[in-house]
Amino acid sequence: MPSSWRHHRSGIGPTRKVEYAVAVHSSISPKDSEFEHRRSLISQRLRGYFWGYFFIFPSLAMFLLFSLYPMADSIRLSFQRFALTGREWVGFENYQDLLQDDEFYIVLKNTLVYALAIVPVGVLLSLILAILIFQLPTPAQIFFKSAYYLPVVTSGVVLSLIWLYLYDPAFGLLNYLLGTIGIDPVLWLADPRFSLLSIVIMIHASQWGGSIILLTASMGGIPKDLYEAASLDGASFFRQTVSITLPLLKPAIAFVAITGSIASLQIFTEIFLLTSGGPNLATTNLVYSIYEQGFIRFDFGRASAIAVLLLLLTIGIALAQYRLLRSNVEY
Amino acid sequence: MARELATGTEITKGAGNWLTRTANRLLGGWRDATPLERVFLVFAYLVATGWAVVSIFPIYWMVITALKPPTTIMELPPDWIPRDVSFANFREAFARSPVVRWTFNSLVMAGFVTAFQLLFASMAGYGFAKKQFPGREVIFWLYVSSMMIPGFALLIPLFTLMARMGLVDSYIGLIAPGLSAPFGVFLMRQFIQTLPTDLIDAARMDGCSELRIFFDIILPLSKPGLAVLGIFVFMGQWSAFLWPLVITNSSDMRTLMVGFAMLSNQELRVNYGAQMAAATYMAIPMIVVFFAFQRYFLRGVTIGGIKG
Repeated sequence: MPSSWRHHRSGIGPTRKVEYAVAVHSSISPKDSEFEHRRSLISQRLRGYFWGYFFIFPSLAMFLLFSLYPMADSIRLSFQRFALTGREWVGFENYQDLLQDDEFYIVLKNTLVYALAIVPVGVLLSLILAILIFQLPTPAQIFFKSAYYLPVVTSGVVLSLIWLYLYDPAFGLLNYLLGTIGIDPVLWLADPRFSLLSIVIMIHASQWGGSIILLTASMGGIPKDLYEAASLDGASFFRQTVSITLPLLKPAIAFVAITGSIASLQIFTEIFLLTSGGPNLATTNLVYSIYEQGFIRFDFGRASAIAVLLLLLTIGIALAQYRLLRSNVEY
Repeated sequence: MARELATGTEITKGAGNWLTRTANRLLGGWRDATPLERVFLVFAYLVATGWAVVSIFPIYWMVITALKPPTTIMELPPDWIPRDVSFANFREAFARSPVVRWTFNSLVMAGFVTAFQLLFASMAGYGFAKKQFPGREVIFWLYVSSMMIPGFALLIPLFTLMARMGLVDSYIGLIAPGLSAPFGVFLMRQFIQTLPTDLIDAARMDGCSELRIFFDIILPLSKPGLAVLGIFVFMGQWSAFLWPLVITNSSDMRTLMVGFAMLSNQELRVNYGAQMAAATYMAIPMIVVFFAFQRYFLRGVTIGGIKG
């Protein structure tokens, strides 16, 4: 190293400070003493390490205790059974029980139905709305973005309570509106044909604000000259959307699709409040099943086995989408 | 500029690019729009407004139902605009619940988690962004990869951990898991990385201690990042449901969300007036915060697509 660390660093600062630093430096370690010089260099670096660890320590401690350790424990729990005497190892028993249970397959199917009913429609809906409002003047854009994001802000519990009322077979607004056009009341939440659909409708009506904001923000990042060049070549708005906007939006679309899928695999609040998983498991998904096994039947081993399987499913779906949708487009 | 270019070519290109001009003209104004462009503009506004109604109407319905006199709630056809305003539903909802205690619990949970996350995340963000130490990259990689772990995966192990520590049904139990914040650290690291290192070096040359550098230089400069993080963490904690649901047993330890969610299934069942009053009470703080910090929200969403 040609100059000491301190010299090097002091070179960056204003002149007055350089002189000050050099003066301090030379008074501590004589210029000709290589040994002293190296020793101060090492202690300086160690002090740097110390402060690095010092600043990350509180966060790291919490992270190890409340994220990393539980993650490992979750896998361990799935191979154990809770008995009065403590936790005992049962090998793959929790998984075997699960895979031999017909209920598990119904719940797994429901989980996938939620994802299929929510993600493609939601991504398309967000995309159409984002493209449309992007054409509007800025104040209108801000108004619509806020309007679409407002339900997200009001929280899942509040929205679920509202929709519980809207879906009420006798006093709810939806059946009243259907009645005005001559359709008989629908048992939205009690009829197994409609209950899962009701939850999906509620999610579509309230959860896409963030995606729309994200997509419009990404559209703002596409260089304007691409559109100008396309206009000069006579490309229509539709053509520009297909050939410029959509390809360049691919990373943002992938992000919306992947985060949307992860969210759609872990719906809980809405199910808890609207249907409690019923009627007859019709709306139970894997997360609700974790809650039920863990906190109603207190079978933590089995609940953990479901959690591990759901985590694998989530990672698998996210990775598959990432592979499918990733692009090397740069602009 | 864009419009001039487009109008310059429209003579040669003919009718094929009317939609392009539409897109350009929408920003330019209604007055010089051709009929077709006006159709497109009206269509965009109609669809956008239609969806805005879908988004906002349930919230509107919640507020006006809460404000209706209880006797008129079940009336069909319903009043779309309340004729008489009454607070009877709020009185009913509050009379049947320890609402003060629940509000306090929600504020304690959201407040403490937010305060600690802001401190821990900005400290760690500074450490990861500006300090050199062995293992930095590995630890940061662990943080980033765990950002994707969904909450349900940790539900059971966190609960058994709290149970072993005797923290079920306690404030520490409510707050503690929220203190592990890989996303917050990630966000603050990205933010602090953009702050000039020269400034930190200059301060060190002037004899500033490391702690003073952090508290007097890094923290004030990180305000925009801290604001975004703080708002989202507070909102997320205020709305949290699954964790407070499982970690609390007694009515006195419930948060607002859990408390009223459970009441809606018990004492307030089918009492929609009181339910909507409770829902309005829980939602109003969030709506006020949203409109007060709108630009942070619209920016924050794009930073990392934070979930609510």
